[in-house]
Amino acid sequence: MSGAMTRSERWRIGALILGAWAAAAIACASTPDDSKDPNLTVSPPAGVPAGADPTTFRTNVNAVFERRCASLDCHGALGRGLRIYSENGLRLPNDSGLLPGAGSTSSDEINSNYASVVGLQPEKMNDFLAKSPRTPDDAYQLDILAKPLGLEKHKGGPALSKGEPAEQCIVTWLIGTPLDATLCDQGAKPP
Amino acid sequence: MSSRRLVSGAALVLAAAALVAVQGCSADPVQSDAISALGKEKGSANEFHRAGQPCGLCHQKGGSAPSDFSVAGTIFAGPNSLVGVDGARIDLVDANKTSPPLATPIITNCVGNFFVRRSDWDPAFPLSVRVTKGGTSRTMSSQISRTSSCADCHKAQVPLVDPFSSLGPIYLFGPDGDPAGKAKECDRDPDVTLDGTPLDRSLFVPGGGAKPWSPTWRKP
Repeated sequence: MSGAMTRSERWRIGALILGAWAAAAIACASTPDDSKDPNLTVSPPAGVPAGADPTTFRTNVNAVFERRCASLDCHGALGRGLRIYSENGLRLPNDSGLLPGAGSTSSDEINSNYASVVGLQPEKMNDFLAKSPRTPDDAYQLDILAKPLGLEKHKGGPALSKGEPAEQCIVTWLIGTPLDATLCDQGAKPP
Repeated sequence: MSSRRLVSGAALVLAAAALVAVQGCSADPVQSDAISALGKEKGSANEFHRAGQPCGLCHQKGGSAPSDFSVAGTIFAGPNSLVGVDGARIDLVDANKTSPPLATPIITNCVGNFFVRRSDWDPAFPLSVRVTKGGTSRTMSSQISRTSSCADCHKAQVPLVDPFSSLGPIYLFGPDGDPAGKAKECDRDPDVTLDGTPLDRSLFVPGGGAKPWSPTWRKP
């Protein structure tokens, strides 16, 4: 028997090495991040007052987006860039029995809504939050307001009007001036 | 070849190319795929066809159907029994507080289908909607924001394929269907299909096929 490997043996060994390398690569690949909480907050630079505050969003502002934007035929649809979860519309997959029309909006869903709203235009939002002071006109440059107000093309047509409670709630939240919770409550009611 | 023949030949080629270009550009592949997924027309396309399907896919301006609907859908008896409710009244109010003209009330036919022609009422969204028959009335808890097809959100599926992003059929009565015990007999085939596959026919038998609702979709 000769000590030299035949061509087919070399091929076989090569294939084994390649297979082992591929298996190792697959095994070592990081697992996908399945976290529901994006743990996302936007922060203005030091010395600049906060705007788009996540706590205020969860407490007061989310309900306005749910009521005005989140029906299943609009931003409660999986294909939308701005995706809004709500108790009467799209639900984050869950094992808690939360379905469209069944069960209040969960904290995971509200966190996802916050990420969706502040992440719609990340660079513009950062630029906006770095301003001091911020004005309503600055806020109107953001698509999150420009589109529903009809300042930019919006497939769903006008969904807000300047001066109405829902719009006032969102503007004051964005620019970081003291928020009138009554306006948000009114804005979250059926139009 | 004479120059006249050459010119007329070139004109023909140009016309053919223009026709192909127009045909190609006017077709919306997303829309045509969605229509294809609904399956072929089985009988004649009339007001009784395709109950539970998204009417607006074809019934829109420039769509493949001749009529343009501003709102259209199907009302079923119960969530698990896809029996159409005959004679239910649909009340609609738009953002400008207008409604379809009183002279043409929106009433479901015997497969549960209803429609509003855009020529009768071209609403400003969002819309509020209520369904009423006899002493039973249901008001939609959210609003219709932009779609003309109820079935865009309300799927005639038992069980729902994706219960997190869609709702079941619009139903007027409870899980057991019509409290009168029997839906009005309808000699029309509602031809309800899902993705081209006919649904379990027992679902259409009044009082029959009341399957327990169990979501099959799970987070991957």
